Amino acid sequence: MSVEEILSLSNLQVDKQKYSTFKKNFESIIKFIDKLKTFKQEGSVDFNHTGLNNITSKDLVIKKSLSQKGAIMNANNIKGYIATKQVLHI
Amino acid sequence: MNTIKDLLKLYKNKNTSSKDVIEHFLNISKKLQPKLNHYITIKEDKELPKNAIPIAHKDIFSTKGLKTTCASKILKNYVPPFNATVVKKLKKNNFYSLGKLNLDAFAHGSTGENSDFGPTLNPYDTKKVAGGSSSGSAVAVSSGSILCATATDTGGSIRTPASFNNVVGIKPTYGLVSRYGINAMTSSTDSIGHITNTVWDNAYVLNFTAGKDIYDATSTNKKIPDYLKNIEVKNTYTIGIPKEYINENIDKDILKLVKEKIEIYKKLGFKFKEVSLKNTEYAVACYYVITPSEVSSNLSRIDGIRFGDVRKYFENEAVRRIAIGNYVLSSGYYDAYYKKAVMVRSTIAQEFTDVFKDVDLLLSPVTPNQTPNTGDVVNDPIKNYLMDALTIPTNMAGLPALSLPAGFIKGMPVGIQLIGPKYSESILYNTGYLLEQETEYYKIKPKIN
Repeated sequence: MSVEEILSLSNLQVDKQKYSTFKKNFESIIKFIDKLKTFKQEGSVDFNHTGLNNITSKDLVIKKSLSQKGAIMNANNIKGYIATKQVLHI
Repeated sequence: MNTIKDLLKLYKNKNTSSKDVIEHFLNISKKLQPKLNHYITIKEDKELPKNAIPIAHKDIFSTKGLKTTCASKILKNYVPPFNATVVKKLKKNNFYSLGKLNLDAFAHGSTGENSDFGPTLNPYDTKKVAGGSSSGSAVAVSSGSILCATATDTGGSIRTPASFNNVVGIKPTYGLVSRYGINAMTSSTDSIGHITNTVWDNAYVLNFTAGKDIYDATSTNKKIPDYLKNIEVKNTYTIGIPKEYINENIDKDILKLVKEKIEIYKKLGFKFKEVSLKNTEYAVACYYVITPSEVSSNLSRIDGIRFGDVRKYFENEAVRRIAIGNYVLSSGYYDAYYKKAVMVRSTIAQEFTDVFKDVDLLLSPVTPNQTPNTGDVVNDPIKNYLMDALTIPTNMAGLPALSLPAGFIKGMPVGIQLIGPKYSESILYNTGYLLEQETEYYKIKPKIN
């Protein structure tokens, strides 16, 4: 996939004058992370270090105070929220 | 008045008032702002509490009614309708905010130069970088503008600026402090901590911020200890020195300072053992797959509809990280990059677990290099990323680490870090405190005033 395609899919723009530097840096990062291809897996994958083990069944209940409508109604003075409110016709 | 401990004594003896204290720190903050650019917004809280402790928040922490820009143009006018849990907790306990501190935009960076509002400057030498991403937090404490600052550490963002500014920074265990209300960078590694002048002060602040938060499901359910309780006890631990952290890639003068600190600990009765974390070499590459992947998702909501301005206002580093994230997550590349990075991460975490069967904690430099000059690394992403080579593995494993002053090289501060098993903050503070009592580097302040 080309750098242009990635930028377009990400809804991002890079100034024309900065583009060649951006492309060069992007490619050097990809080359750098290619190092992972030499890694030999030992053991199994474990997600406990990501905090998932702290999540209890209580946390999986959607809290009323965090509902989308509540958040929007609570933030009427914020420009971005008002836009959302209009989009959602709340 | 350099420490919270001193300030609390003054309050206890009725030798000062909240009004005088805040006026003092506000004056310093305003006077130094043109020289250091450490703040984005200087604006005090409304209600002055009794025995107020001056603090300021990294401008990535949501503050009700006060701009929270994440140091980005795209969010330059965003005013949150709520406080982050940490802000709320500190406010409730007499911490009085003087404003919002500069950072690398969206916390993307290691030098403090990526802010859309200009770089934060190092008070020890304004030609040197401040360190990032919590650049304003470290500089504000170091320069005497405040006594403590909130900060975040996703790959070294508390420890690196703390090291470059002669201050103490804690990166707590992942999940110890609530992430609610803090703009997410890499949700699975973001750790919320703070920066102070001394280890005692740092433990004092963590006593208020640690603990379960119903708004952050990944926050810990564990009972939180009093981090000050055993901080002065003359314990002796076995410290591991990872051979991958002390090698030919590390600056020679930094190694000399580290060895001096090891000798101090030996005199205090600590034991040392060489250990190995053999997959350390993959950590930075692993981080620069996992982080951009989560960044691309977290920043996708900033689209000019719900938050902020249109996406063309994202600057270089944010664009780079979003693009890399979308690339490595895309069909055909996912297995080669993201899946592999998750495996590396698990292996790194397991290696730490194994090492902590033999030692109580680890000691290493914070960065492999001395403080760079402004402009030296910011345009070379790989050079920039490698500055985090010794801090990133801790984030990958979700472990706590404490950065503390270790001396000076050509007038510039250098730090060391203590890394412990999960929830070992009390041991880190105890060990850090004992060294601090021997070295007293916190008494040396920059001559910027």
